[in-house]
Amino acid sequence: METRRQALLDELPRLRRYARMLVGDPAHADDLVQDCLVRAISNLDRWQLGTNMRAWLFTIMRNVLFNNLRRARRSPFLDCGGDAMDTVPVAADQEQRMRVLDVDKAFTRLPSAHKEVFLLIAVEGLDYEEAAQILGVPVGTVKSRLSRARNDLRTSLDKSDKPQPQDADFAERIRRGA
Amino acid sequence: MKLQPPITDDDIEALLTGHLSPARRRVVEDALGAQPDLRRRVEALQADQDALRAIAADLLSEPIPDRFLALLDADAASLDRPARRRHGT
Repeated sequence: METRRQALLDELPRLRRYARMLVGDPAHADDLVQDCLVRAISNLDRWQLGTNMRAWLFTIMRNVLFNNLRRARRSPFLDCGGDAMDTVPVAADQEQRMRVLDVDKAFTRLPSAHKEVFLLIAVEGLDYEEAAQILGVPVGTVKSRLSRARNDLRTSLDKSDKPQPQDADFAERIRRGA
Repeated sequence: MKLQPPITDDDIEALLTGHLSPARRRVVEDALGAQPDLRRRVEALQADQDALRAIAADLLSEPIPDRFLALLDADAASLDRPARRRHGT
């Protein structure tokens, strides 16, 4: 039978990653995880074995983040800056590597609210209901926010793309075998 | 000419997160086939998500710092004490 300690231990990598992708700076992220863990441990007897610890921990994490930001008198929705990656993940080819770097940079510039829906749905794979509970908003808001987050990310990536040859000219040259 | 049913934002979201039923997925992919601009955008959104997931996967493999493990061990005894009995359980 799984113990509570093991359940908590199992969630540490994801918790840490969530914090890191939200705030960027590794030291800040780990401080958040520390605060979150302290709270989780002291409230652990309120969590029932077999229920969704991940969602519970993410909720605590958000509370910690907002409380810390409020104490520092900053808006919770200001971007905290910093890239999530120290090194580029291994990618299959050069184009993919460049894209990963670009996406990382563009992601860090998203508002926190957009980062959160991206992380919870597209990265953690939570369903809308779970994400809605963690974020404290209706399911419809989660959906529209995620859609907007994706499109804002894409728009900012489009802006930073280098100019390409006209598609029509390129297609024509290909067809003529040039 | 075959009429294509409209693709909703929900369809695109479900396609990107892998939540479409196989039948609906075929319908959506057929419809995208007939709308090259939209298809290109969806492909770009997919590639963005793949990149984000690659970043995320990489972060997941980092080792857990000792100070977090120490937190769990310091409280080992109290972590697994029996839950307080709740009313009705």
